[in-house]
Amino acid sequence: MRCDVCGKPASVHEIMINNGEKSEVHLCLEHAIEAGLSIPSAQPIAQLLASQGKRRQRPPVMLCAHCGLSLADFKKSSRLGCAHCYDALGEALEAAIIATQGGATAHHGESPAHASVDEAHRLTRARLVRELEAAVTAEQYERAARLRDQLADLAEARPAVGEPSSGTGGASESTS
Amino acid sequence: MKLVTPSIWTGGDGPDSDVVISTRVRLARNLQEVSFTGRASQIQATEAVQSVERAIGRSKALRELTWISVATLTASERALLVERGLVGEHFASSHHPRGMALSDHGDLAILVNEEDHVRVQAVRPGLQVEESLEGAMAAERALGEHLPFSFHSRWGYLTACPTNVGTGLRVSVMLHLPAMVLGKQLKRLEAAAKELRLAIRGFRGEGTANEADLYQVSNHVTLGRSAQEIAHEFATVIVPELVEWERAARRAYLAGHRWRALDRASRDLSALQSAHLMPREEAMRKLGRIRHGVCLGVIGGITQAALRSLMLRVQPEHLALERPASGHGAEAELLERASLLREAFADATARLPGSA
Ligand SMILES: [Zn+2]
Ligand SMILES: [Zn+2]
Repeated sequence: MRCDVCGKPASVHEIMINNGEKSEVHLCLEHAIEAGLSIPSAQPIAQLLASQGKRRQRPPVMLCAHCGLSLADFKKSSRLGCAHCYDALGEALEAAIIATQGGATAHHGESPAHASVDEAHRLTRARLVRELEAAVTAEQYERAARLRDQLADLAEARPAVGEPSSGTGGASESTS
Repeated sequence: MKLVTPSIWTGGDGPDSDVVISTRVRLARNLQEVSFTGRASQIQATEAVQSVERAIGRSKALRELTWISVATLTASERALLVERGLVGEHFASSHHPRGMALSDHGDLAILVNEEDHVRVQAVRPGLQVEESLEGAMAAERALGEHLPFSFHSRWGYLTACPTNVGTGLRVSVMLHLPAMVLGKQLKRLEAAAKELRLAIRGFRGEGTANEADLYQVSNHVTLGRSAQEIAHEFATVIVPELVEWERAARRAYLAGHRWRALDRASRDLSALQSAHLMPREEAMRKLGRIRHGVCLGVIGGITQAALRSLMLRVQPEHLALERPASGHGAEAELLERASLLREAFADATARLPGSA
């Protein structure tokens, strides 16, 4: 297994549940610490605590499984990595948003009209293909199998979705 | 490459143009399934550019825009875009895949892979907040028919920086506040900004110093109220109030310091009419003061529209475009800028207001 963030050998493996969706996170030691994950320890005190059945208080997982951005990254750059970060970074992000937005706690107003479903599927397919390639490169075969299934489901749902049709519509590069 | 100059620089004056130079409205949007620009791979970033370019090509409303592949522009073409305020320094020089589409009058631009995948911006001369918003919204809706934008049930439109989340709307108006500067009333402006949650920036946006007494005032809060509500408050409450402050300060200055106003105007004018080496900073400072003089009525023979376009023409890249000789070294630039200004102000005169 490889670290989802940097590709180095992963030593921490976590299963995260987000909005009912399960995802696996694999991280090297450095990125696990940055993400605030508890580090597996061989120290006797940890074993002792475990054997006494006391659950160690773990800090909540603050890492976006989709793009690998951690809360620490966000605090450093003030920028999020992807749309999923908004749910993954939890209460810390929520508090930061409310503070910078003058106390506003939710959006009010316009929402998207129905966008072309084809384009949405095309983007989903492109993402799954990207993730599949990454999983194969990282030798994450279980993950790769799952992604292949998702791609198959997507193709079944909309068999017509494939490459964008050529020749029609695309804005042409200005040559002058 | 067709690079039009936005009409806010070259066209007529808009409403309240004695104080409000221009209005800009920007909507930030991101595509579903693609990491935000700062974290996107080269492949993802390219996909975003292609998706938007394709959507523009498919949209009846947007098909007429000129698509500009930013990577293929020359360094000087990029500098022109920055000087016109169409793109930031970072966007112009980035090596990330990026693109933009521009309308014929330069009043509408769609930027791809700025900090967010899509930024739709509309500009108008003078105070035209709601008109600008309508322009940006129409383009955003047209894009939205072909592109799935990231939208969250609680947070609204998702953006790379949570300071833009919700509406993704940034309204900013460029104000000319020479009398408030002279009357040391900027503290008042800063206090109002804090209370109303406004950001105040210089001529070139975030982190830049003010030039020519020009200030950009924009909304800080993008969440919790609709874009129309934010724009409406800007158009009907916030900006009119600031405009009245500046007008009152100008009246007070003229009433109390008639001769000083005339003295300043005459000195500034003769500097522009006689200088042979003119640095950019000094030119901008003087243009700001001359603009004040025109508004007070102590300077005649030059229009506000002419001053507005001069503020762009004295910038290095535009100067080089208009007067190629200025491109040949630092002194040549100073010489050509001085010569441009001597010609522009040849017929301008200073006089006491009310006198012939
Ligand atoms: Zn790592
Ligand atoms: Zn993320």
